[in-house]
Amino acid sequence: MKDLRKNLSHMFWFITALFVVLGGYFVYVAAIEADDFITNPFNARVAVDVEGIRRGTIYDAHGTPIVESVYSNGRYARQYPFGAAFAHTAGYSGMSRAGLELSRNFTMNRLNWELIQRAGHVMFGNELTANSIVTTFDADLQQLIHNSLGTSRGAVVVLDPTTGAIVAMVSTLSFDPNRVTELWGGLITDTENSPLLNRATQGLYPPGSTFKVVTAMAALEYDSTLVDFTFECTGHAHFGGETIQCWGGTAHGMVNMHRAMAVSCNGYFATLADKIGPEPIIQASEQLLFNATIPFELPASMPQFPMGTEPAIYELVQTAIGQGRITATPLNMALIAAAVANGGVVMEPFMVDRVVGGFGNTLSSTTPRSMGQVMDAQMAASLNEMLIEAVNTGTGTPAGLSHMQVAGKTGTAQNETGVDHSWFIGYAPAENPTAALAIIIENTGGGTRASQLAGQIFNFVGNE
Amino acid sequence: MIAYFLLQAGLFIFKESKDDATAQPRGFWIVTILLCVFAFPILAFDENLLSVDVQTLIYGGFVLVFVIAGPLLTKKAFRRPCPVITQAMFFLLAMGFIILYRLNPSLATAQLVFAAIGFGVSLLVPLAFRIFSQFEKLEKLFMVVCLSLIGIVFIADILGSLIGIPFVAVDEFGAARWISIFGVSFQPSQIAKPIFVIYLACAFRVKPSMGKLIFTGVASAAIIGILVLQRDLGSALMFFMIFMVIFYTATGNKLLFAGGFAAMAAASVAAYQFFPHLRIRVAAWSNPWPLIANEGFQVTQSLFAIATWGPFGAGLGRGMAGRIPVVERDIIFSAISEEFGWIFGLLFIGVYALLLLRGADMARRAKRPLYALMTLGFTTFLAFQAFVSIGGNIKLIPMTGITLPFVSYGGSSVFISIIMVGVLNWLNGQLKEEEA
Repeated sequence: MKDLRKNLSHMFWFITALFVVLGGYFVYVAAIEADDFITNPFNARVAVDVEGIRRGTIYDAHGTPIVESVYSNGRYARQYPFGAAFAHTAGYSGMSRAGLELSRNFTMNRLNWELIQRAGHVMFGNELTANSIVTTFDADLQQLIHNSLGTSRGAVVVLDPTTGAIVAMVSTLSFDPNRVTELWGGLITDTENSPLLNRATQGLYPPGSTFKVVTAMAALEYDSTLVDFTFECTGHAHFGGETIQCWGGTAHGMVNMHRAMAVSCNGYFATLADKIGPEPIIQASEQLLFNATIPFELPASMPQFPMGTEPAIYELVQTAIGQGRITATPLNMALIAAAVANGGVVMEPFMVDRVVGGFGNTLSSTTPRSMGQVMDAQMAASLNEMLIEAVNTGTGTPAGLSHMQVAGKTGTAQNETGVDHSWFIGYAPAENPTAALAIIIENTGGGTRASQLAGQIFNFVGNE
Repeated sequence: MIAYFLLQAGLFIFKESKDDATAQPRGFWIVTILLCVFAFPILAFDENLLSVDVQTLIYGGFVLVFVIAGPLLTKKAFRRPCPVITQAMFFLLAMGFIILYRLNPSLATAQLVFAAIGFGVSLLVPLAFRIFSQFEKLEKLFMVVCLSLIGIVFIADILGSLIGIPFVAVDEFGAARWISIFGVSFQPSQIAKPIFVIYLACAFRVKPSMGKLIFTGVASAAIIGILVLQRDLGSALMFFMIFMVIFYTATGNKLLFAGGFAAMAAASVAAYQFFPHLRIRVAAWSNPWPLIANEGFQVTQSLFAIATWGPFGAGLGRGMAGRIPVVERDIIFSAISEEFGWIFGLLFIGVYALLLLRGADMARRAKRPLYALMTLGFTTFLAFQAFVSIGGNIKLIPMTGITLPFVSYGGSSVFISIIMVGVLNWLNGQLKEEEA
């Protein structure tokens, strides 16, 4: 009987342990893991707003509301004072939800200090105010970029390279989230403009010449003396029966790496790729987040670098100048610019600075997080010099400012539409960058629009 | 207010668990009664029409009578029943009636009838044991009955398919479980559960010889094997666990205990290869998200129900668990958590743990090994069944279609669970007598 009692307690401890695991896992799923999956489109609960509660406001970094609930005719209605400018980031809330309206949906429906709020509501008629979101956006800059893109399709990502905070993220063509329900039918059928697509994080574009930053890094990692490698550009270069042409057939003459970056010489970087082979380029692109999932608040596509270790020569040289099958997202290219700007360290991009409870109390705030050192500081310094030269005396001159040193790289991406896209990636001030960005404007036929817009943005940020 | 009420409910439950076994857990009882008093008017009230549904109130009235009269009748019928286990049962039953009524009133009505009949029969448990006071001598008979109950489904299944009359109903997990005779369907494996426990307790009441050990093991393996052949893997797991627990307690043989689990692991791997529906179940458990529209639908919807509304839940009647297939039987815990919040859900798990702990206490104080093993068997059966059911709902383990005792819809399940508590109450009286 004594043995039996001992065995009994073994068994009861065994099953009690099962219950501890059960309770622990239950709380883990319900309280901790919950936010990762409850915004899934299969969760019909997403579309439910709790009546009588003022859904949370979304603010920009300076306290300007970019989405708010307004009480009229006995109920709350969602309003978007900046209209189409924040349609892809703050999102919308209609028959379905997107953007922060989706990703922070439940946060913005929840009452902090619920018991006290409800007691106040019953006793004094206080408004039930759900949690609000303070973002990292600058609403004025966002509006400026949105207006500047006008009727062009394109995307812009502006972030603080030292923290990863997104200052502006614009995608056009856009739509007015105030009218999303009535516009819905047209939005989902407009395959030409795909207005619902957030091009900034989900648009996959050939990076064009902006990719030369990656090729340069690959070459310098392979052999740092290649910075002095020179090449005589005649406007054309031949590889295995195929021709790589510089833009407009321009002959750049004798160029070294700095010069080639500044004038965006295709022949030079194609020859460089031929010299170093595919491996260093694969390695550098993967360090710079190609084929990688970029952790972000909103859905983000994976930048594609499909070239294998034994490519045909033509694929290799095409890839080196950002053409071929390689595709990048504006967010990814902005992070590459930010890596150079921040001494080689990429910071994880984020757009929610903090969550604020109904009484104005901060519930959680984002701590900037590093995604790692993707290049050493010396490499970053070396690329920095090239990107300064590109803006001062190369293709990037339209981005230049008199009172601030801008660094950057232009790009002209050939694509299946036949009319080139215009790229610019860069940062400023070059000596102590506060903003890094990537801009793509679709089907401009190349040209300087992206660089000009970059200048405008840096000017705005510098004057703040 | 509801949240405060729930908090109070939680305090009561925890407080009672510390009390001496002899104390009447009046707080627990009050919680159960208040739960019914609040819940049914909420369910009866229509926010849009501003009207009150009288049928709901009548149902609520019956439930209220049941939960008030039940513990009183238990005290009358049994000599010193365990008040904590009794109150825990009525709390769980009340929760079941509330959530079932909210999901499907006609099922809730049927459930109340089954529960009332079950409770009525459970009051006869002391009488039955007085008549069969030497029941441990009927050991072999219990085994034969148990085997027959499990076997009859198997035979009826084969017979039915031969002559073209479907005697046996199959659930969505592919398990052949119900047998229908003249329009009445029941689950023989449920009825076999308490008999199996009593059989094992009888067989192991004295330290068994090797020959007896092998005989009991083979008989149990046969029962579990037939359940596996009927593809009722959830029940097979339950019977296996009960066997292992009673076997270990009686013999203390750690080697065979570990060996048993190793054998089960091997059998699981074999079953995985053999049953396609099991592979689907495992896939829907290990990563349901790619299968969200089909095989993973049930478990992901269950997770949404649990996780969407936060600690205080959506509020009674405001959840969307009604959209989940077979929610009344398989996903009942998630339906409760969705509307009452996860804090309540955790306390709810705690009630089963409380039942288990009270069982542990009873079993330790039992003077006769037979009674200790019976107490152990019944409490672990209820607790482990709760573990498997809730674990499936929260994706801790694959979903099996095992019912949540006292709460899930299911006539046989609720009937047998109440009978088990009846036996536990009788056992509590026995150990008090031994002490006296």
